[in-house]
Amino acid sequence: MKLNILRVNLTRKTSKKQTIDDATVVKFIGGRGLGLKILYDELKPRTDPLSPDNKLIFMTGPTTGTAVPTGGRFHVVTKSPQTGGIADSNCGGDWGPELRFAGYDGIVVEGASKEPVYLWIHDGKVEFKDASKYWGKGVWDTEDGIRAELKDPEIKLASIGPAGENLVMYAAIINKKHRAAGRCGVGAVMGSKKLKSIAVRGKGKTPVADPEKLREAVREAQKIMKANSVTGEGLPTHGTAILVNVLNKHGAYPTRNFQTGVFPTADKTSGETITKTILTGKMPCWGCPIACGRVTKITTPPYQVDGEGPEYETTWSLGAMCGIDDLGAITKAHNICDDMGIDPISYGSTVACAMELYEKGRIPKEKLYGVELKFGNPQTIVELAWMTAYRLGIGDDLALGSKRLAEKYGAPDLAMHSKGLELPAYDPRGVQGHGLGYATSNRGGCHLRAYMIAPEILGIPEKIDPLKTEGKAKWVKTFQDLFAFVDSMGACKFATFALGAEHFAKLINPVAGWKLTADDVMKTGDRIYTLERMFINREGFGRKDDTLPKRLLKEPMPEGPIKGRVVELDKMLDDYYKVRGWTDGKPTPKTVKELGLA
Amino acid sequence: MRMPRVKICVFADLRDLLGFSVVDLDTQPESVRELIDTLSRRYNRRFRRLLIDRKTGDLKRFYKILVNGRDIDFLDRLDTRLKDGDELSFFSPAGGG
Repeated sequence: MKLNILRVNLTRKTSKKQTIDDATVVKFIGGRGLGLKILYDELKPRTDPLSPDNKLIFMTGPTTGTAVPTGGRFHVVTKSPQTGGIADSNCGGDWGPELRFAGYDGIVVEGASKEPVYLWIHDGKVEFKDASKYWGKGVWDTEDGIRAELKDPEIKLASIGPAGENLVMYAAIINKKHRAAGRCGVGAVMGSKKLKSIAVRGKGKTPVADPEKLREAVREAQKIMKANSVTGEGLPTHGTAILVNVLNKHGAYPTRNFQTGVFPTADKTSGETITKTILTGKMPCWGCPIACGRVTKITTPPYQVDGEGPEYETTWSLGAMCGIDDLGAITKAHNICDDMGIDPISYGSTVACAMELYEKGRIPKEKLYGVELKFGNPQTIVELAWMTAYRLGIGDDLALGSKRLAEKYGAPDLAMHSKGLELPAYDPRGVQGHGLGYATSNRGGCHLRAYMIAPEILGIPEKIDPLKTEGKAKWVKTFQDLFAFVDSMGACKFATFALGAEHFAKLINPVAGWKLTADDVMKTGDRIYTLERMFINREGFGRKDDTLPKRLLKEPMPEGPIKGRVVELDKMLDDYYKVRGWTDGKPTPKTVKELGLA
Repeated sequence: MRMPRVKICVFADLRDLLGFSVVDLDTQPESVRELIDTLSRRYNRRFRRLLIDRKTGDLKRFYKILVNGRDIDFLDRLDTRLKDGDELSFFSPAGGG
């Protein structure tokens, strides 16, 4: 299967089509894998991520825009301004399929424009349009404005808000107003190129090699996903925030900057409470039968909002992480993050870090404009979202992210990150394998490289003891490899609650005309994960960076079911390197050769 | 012998099924299995059918029971004995990210 890439040079305002041959596509698939391959081959090491020399890659997968269940996704790949390593972020919504309908499977954006522009890609044609009237505006006004300007309400857009324009370290790229390529500062890279939005529209079709075989495979996958109680019932009914009480009762719900794992009023911000009080509907991404998205509305002041969310990660990051249990404030702040184009995981964690710095007397009050930066103050997360997006007052410091913020105020140990990317909503002192996943994630503190919560807490595909360290390395590698494949093919990782490698092979083969087995799927994922590791090695990352905050390694959990526990990372890390065929965080020449990366 | 008093917390659709979120219960010295029977008799007979696999008698896949924050799979499963002051949490299938 060949893929068609659009090469855009914003400095020269030129574009050209490039075809990626089948030999490359079958090795790296598309999405995360192919985006990474292009970046690895073309980007010089030590390139400044915010310079015109960085490349910003939008890549769909072969199954994006086909009948494959959850096949609506695309991936953004670039070098991260937040971490200095790989930035890659997966996104749903409806932009990915439309890009393919418009004639392109991916876009590589190079250079930088002197003035704000947006790209208009429609049925193969590419136009550079003036975005000056949208510069400074939120994503929502930008989407509405461009659709009105181009006189087509069905245009799909991937845009940045003021956060990306102002180079906030964790700025996101948003499509369909609420779906984010959220992490690692991909929005800041887009902002550095003065690229406000990419608008796409097309009437093309996505190629499928064997439509009849695909129909069979889709029928089978849909049946399995419907019968599965997580994808068929739990997620559609309750959304992801159903996990709030699960993690809290395990004592592993990070609270007040990971100072503890128990949040007494967690239920006030849980999926159950969202369903009972503010939920008005479900929102699926393109081609998704699960529909985990939440449509919500609040009509009572002071936090009136008509939008979406919060999801599990945001109800946590803007909630318990900051000691806040006001669902109205959390929902409002979640929606401001969507509109301003901010990663709410990193934002909430940075605010929590700032709260602990404030508690310890390190943040100057004059930068706060009268806002008390205390744990539990709901005003903070709402107001500081605007201030961060526009870099006002303390917002200018919060825009740095927790690592640089904590370093600036002389307390680096108070930033809860790995490799510079803030940790998400699970305290690994209670979920040991998940801690290994955080530490060995190539892009930094991430729960979606190896979602060890699935086996260690949820029992998917089987239950393993979260408090033990033995055997975790192999599980982490398996998840990392499978998820790398799924991120590359254009499907959603939530499908993995029901489907395994053999199902993904059955789905992609009739699309691409391949004959992959389940083992091929896993080996391809291994190849992609290893190339990512080679990318960050080249940028100076190694074993010293495969670590966790001191709090999680040295400070025992003070209370709750996992009282007294720390992450026993060293025990698991050596196992992990052995299982990966790496030494000190670097793939050995033998491993590189075996995976066809030499 | 004084009957153990345990705290029962239920979540998601189990709240609608049983009609409560949290309840304190005086029990006979019981296992988790016997407690499920008690809750079914007192609140809703569907509770046992929902949680327990008829063929195997085990807890159904993806359902979860914690005793003091510890999954019963790593204690004595449904035969885990209860003591005074224990807190039990019951979860139906969940997923997320």
